[in-house]
Amino acid sequence: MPDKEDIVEPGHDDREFTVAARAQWKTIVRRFLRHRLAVISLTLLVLISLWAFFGPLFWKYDFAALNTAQKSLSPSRQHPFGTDDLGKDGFARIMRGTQRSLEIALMVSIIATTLGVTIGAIAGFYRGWLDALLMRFTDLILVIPLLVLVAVLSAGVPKAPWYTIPVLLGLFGWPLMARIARGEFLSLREKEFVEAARALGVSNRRIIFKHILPNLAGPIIVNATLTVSGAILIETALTFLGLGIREPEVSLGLLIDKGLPAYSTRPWLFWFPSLAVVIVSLCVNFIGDGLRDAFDPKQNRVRA
Amino acid sequence: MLQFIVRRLLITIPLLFLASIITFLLVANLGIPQQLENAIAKPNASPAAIQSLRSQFELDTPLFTRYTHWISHFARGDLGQTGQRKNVRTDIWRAIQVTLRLLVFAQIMSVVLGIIVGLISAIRQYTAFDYLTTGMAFLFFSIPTAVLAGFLKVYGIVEFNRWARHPTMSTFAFVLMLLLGGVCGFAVIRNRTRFSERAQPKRLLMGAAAGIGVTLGVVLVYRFVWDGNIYRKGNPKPLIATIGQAGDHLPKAFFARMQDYFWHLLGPSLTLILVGFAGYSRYMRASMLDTLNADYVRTARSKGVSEPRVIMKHAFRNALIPLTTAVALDFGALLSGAIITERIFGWKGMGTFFSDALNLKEPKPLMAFVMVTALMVVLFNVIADVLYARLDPRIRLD
Repeated sequence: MPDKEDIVEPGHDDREFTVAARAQWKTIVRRFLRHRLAVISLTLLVLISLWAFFGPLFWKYDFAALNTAQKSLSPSRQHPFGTDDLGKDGFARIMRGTQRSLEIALMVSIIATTLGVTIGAIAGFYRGWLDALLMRFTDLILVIPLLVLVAVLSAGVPKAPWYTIPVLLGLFGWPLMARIARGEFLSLREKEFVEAARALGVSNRRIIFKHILPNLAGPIIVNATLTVSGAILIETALTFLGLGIREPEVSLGLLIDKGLPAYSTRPWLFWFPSLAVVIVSLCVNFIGDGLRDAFDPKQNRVRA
Repeated sequence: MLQFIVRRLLITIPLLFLASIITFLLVANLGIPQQLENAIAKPNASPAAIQSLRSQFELDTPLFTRYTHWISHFARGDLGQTGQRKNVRTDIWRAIQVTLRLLVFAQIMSVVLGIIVGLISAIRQYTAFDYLTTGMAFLFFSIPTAVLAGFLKVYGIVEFNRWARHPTMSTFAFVLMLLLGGVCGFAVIRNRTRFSERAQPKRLLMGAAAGIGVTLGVVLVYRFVWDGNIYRKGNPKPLIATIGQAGDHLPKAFFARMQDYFWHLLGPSLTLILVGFAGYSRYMRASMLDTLNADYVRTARSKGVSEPRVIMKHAFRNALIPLTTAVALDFGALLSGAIITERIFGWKGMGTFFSDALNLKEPKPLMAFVMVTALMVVLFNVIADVLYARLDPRIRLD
């Protein structure tokens, strides 16, 4: 893939001044910005993150503070998202929960993507017995569903701090990324530009990092984004089974788990965290869709 | 072909063997079973009782011996006993039957629905229908299973049951339904053109009128002929069950039993169908668009093959190939969804079996669950490979 893209502006005969070289990433940004829904989602997600991370500094209630005088209040100006049966403020708890859920999702995505790309790159580039070994290892991890694997693991550490969950999810959530990276590496290593680099005597390390890896930016970024939304959903599922985030720590999954049994008496405890999860994960999915279109416009085919 | 299947199955044996070792270590890592923990925590616990429990859970033998003991029994089909001296194999077999009923029904429905919707939205790309189904797919893709299941149960089924007890229709609801019918009729006509293009207003109005007419007919039939008496007011049982996989007194007669199963199946399977449909319809749409743009489809068109034949014979059949593998490989995700759904709808299937075993830290049922799951995942992988080879003649098995 060329580093620079020469674009000839149409409608001008005088080519001398109309040939514009544009960096590839600029084209990608432009294509992303054309995806209206993705841009709206990105804006919304940034706003939600700011609210979740900096909101607690300005909000009058603490997420863990008990207030027995204000138990089970429905949403009001004082408590926009109501209070629970212990008088904890819903707004503060959802802010904190969103913050935790975003942190978890990001951690899972970073760990899983790094591991997956590394393993996939090694397997695809070196091939041979290393490839066979790593791919059998990938098969092995895929044999047990991720939810089951992490549930059993996390039940083994009863007093674990909150970050064990994202670390565990990241440590076992990489196989898909590894398979994608391996496939790309297998085909790219046979390309002419790699051959040329090898003929020039470029080291393997430099070929991997400088020549092949930049071409994988698209699939890696798209898959990392989709891992974020997947992580939010699987954290919710784990916590719902009582094996994820535990009190006094708060995540959106925990709030949903606590809110569901109270649906008839305190529906706001179920509604607001559910809404928060759906909005965040929708935003991430739309951003992923926009990124996919931006990196690979061929995929979103218009019918001929 | 047979040789390939046999070889493929043989490869899975070391895989399952390794998986069993890892799982055994993980399960051992859980610590002592809850039953033993409770016995120790008792203030006047007798050492003899504790010792007998310890030997029952084989905690007095080293880990390696425990593993070889377990796997030699597992290879012979003996899954061991729980702490309550119940046979794990009968328990898990009962759970599998219950869960398979849910999974098979939900999977068939969501695949069929996904194929139909994906096909239409690819053929009618960028129409209102395409945008609507894409939006729905994104929504159901982004909803946690627990939220979707809880929402359907609490605000869908419970409310519907309440309404079904006294099925009346207010004037407001009546007008709303007519409007909805009109919008549907309008949309069906509008859907013949892309969203950005203009459609003929006269035909659109006719479509809307037809939609209102059909809805009016349905409502009138409901009001004067049927009158909503499907649900006997004296029956204390809700129409659509929200708890359990079958009624307490399961009828012996075949059709009555199937009916009972169906009403219990509706809630949880609807959850899984919506989640599955979201993925499959997107997948189907993408692969259908791919084949519709392929050269051989253009060749077929230029040869003068009729459009329905081009779509069904040339494009659709080839678009199904990647979907088949996706469906077969999806088993793990499907089971994870079922674990959550079963919990919310109170089904006693694999999900409950797993979470109960995990809560009690019972080694034998946990091992049985993971091995059965792993076996199924591996089997579906083999099925995916075989199907792929059968459907795509370019792929050779040997």
